Amino acid sequence: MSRAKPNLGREGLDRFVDAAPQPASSGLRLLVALERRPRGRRMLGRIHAVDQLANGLVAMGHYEDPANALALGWDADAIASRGRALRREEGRL
Amino acid sequence: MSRGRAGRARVVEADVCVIGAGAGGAVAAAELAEGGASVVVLEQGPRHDADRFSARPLDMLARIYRDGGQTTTLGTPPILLPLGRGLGGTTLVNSGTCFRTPPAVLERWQREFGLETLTEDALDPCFARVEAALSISEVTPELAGRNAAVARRGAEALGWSHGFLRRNAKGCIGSGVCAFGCPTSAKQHVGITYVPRAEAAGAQVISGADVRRVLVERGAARGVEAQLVGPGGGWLQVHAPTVIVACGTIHTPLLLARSGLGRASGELGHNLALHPATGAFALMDEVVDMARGVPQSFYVDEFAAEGIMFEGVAGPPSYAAMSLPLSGRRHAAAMERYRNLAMFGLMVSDGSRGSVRSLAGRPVIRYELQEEDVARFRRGL
Repeated sequence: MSRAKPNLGREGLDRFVDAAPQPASSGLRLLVALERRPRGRRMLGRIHAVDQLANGLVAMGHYEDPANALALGWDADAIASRGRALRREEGRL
Repeated sequence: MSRGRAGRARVVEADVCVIGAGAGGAVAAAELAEGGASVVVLEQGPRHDADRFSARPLDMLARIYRDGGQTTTLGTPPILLPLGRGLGGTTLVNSGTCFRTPPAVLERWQREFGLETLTEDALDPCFARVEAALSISEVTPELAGRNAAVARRGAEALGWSHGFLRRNAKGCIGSGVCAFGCPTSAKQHVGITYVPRAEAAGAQVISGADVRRVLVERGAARGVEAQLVGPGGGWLQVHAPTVIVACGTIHTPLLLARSGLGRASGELGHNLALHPATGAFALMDEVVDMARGVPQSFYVDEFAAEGIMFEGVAGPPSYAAMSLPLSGRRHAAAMERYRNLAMFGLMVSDGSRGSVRSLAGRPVIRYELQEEDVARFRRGL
């Protein structure tokens, strides 16, 4: 049985929201949940600043996903691997 | 501390206990240990393994930033304060820019605080010593990347004063994620420079040590009490006749207040200055790939006398997505052209002042941007 591929963007966003102090963390979680639903998005659209924050949060998760980032020329895995290799080669900490 | 807790605490004796392994604490610890003192360093955050640095902003924000990078001021506007968490403190997550304290600031310190010995001449050997320890040098145009080239082209066309920034980096390849954990360890943050030096000189560095209070006897610091987090847990007391509190601008006043210290001045937790910053995007005809190269590599100081400084800022797509001041279709359309986006930041030398106090163990940071600073931002933008 094959396991579903992890969604690094979504997982990253969840960890980011969890890391926020309370009550901000609960507020952000609610915003993300609303932004992910069409009706929630319409509701958020009435308040510009909140809409922008919610949109930015979800978009951050979207573009953290390797496939979406790669389409924009950003290969995080290659950068991290290259860094690790260089550190080993040069004995950096 | 309760009698029961005091009885169970592990006790360590030292000449000096340093609280915090960031820019202040790590340097003090290394210098003191190399000078022959027995030193214990207590750091609240963990010792990070650069092998786990992923070059993914969201992932790294949650791991190496305090509060996941979401420590925010209360006020108008709310301002995010990027604070590092771990050995290296905020030097772990900053962009690496290293300025000497400008002469105008030294003059103000002399005028306002009577710090007459802190002159440019007196500080010159100190700056030179730190610059050597941190491998501080000017970014080359090649390493600065195309985002800096766009700003440079503009500054040159306008005839504005500009230059490449000096930063603490060695063997940098322009990974573009200085603020999210340098995967090559090129950025010479104090967690990989001064902390190892302190340890080599015999200092004991304890991470995961949440200092609860400074122990005070007859009005003088006599040590520190900390709760150890992670496996084993428990309590630790460091008995030391000298205690250096280097927990940063936000957490130092909170620890002092918890310890009953510094209140008599009436200034504890007040006079908070932030150097608030913002950024602007530009959609270029050319491919910029803003995150390739050193994000903060170039500056424009044409308006420095007005308290406005322009410095590079950039990041991978997820960082840009959060920073774009757009939503809905316009946001999506701008992100589709991410490779053509350029970004540059501006920082204001603020006259506004805020305060820090504790509420249920959490910092409450109040900061209202005053009209003259708003005007600086408007002018800068």
